[in-house]
Amino acid sequence: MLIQIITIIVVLFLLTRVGSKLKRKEINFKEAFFWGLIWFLVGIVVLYPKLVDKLAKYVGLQSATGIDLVVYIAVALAFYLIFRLFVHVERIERDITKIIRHIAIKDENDK
Amino acid sequence: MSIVIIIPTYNEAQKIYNVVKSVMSYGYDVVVVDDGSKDNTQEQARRAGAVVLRHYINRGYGAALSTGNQWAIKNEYNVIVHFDGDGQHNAGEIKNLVNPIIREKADVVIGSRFIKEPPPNPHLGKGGEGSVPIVRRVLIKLAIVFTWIFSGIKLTDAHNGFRAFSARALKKIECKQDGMSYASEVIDQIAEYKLRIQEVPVTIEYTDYSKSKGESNIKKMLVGLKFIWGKLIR
Repeated sequence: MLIQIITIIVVLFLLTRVGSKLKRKEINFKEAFFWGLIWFLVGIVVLYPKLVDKLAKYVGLQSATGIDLVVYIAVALAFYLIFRLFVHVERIERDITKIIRHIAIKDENDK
Repeated sequence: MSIVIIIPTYNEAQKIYNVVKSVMSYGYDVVVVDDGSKDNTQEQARRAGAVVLRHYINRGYGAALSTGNQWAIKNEYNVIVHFDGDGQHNAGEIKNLVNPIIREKADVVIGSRFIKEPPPNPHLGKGGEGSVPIVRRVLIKLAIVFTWIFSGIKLTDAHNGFRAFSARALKKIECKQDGMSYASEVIDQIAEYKLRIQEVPVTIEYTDYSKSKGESNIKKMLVGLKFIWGKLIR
C-alpha cells in the first residue's frame, strides 16, 4: 500500500536524523534512544497493522481496531511532551532572569 | 535604621522623575529597577538622583522587585519598601509602613486600600475605597479569597504593590515568579515562614495615566493561574 511506503520512508528519514543529531552531540544517548524507539515502533505498526489489532484486543478495546490504540497513545505522548516543554521553557525563563539580575547588580557595582 | 525604597519601572519616563523626587524629599534612599524600558526611564531616574539597576531585557514585575531586594540586602539596608513607579502611591505614607517594622511590631507591612480597623494614625483617614473602579473592586475581592485559600492569611486587600519588609524577613523570602504573580507568591512565603504581617491603610490614586498603564482585568485574572502553575513546577 502507498501509505505504508510513504510512512516507512518518513520513518527511515527521521531515524537518520536521530542518528546524525546523536553524532553531532545535539542530543544525548538517552534522548536518541527514546526517539529511535518511538520511530522504530511507528515503523513496526505500519508494516504489521495486525499486530496492534491484537494488542488492542489484549488491552480490552473490543470494538476498536489497532489504529485507534495507536492514536490514543500518540495523543497521550504528545501531551506529555508538551508538558515537558512547558516546564523546560519555564526553567530557561528563570535562568534568563537570574543572568539579567546578575548583570544589573554587577553594572551598578562596577560604576 | 537605613531604609531603601525600591521602585520597579517599565516605560515610566513621564512619571519616574517626579516619583523619585517625591520619595527622596522624605529623605529615603531610592533604587529604581528599570525593567528593560524602551524609553528613557533610566536617564530620568538617574537625573532625579536614584540608584538605577538596569534589566537589559524585560523580565516582569516580580523579577524587577527581586533584583531590587537582592541589591538592598547586599547593601545592608534594614528596611526595604516596595513602591510603584507610576505615581499611584503617596510617598508621605511610607513612614506608616516602616514604623511597625522599626518598632519591631511586624516583619512585613502591606498597604491596604480597604482596611476596616481604626488606623494607627487617626488623622490618616480610611484608605481610598471610593476611588477604586467597580470591576477592579470585585476582582480584588476574588483575589483576597484566593490568597486566603492558598496561604491562610486573610488580608483586606490583594495585589497592593506598597509593601515594607525587615531585612531579616526579606532574606527568608525567595520569590521565583517573574510576573505580577509575585504579589501572591510573596504572601505565600510570608505564611510559610510564619512572618508577622500587618496591614496599614494607604491611598491609591487611580489616575487616567495609571489606569492606562495598568494591566487589563482579564490579565489580572490570568495572574492567579500563573501563580498556581508556578507553584506546581517550582
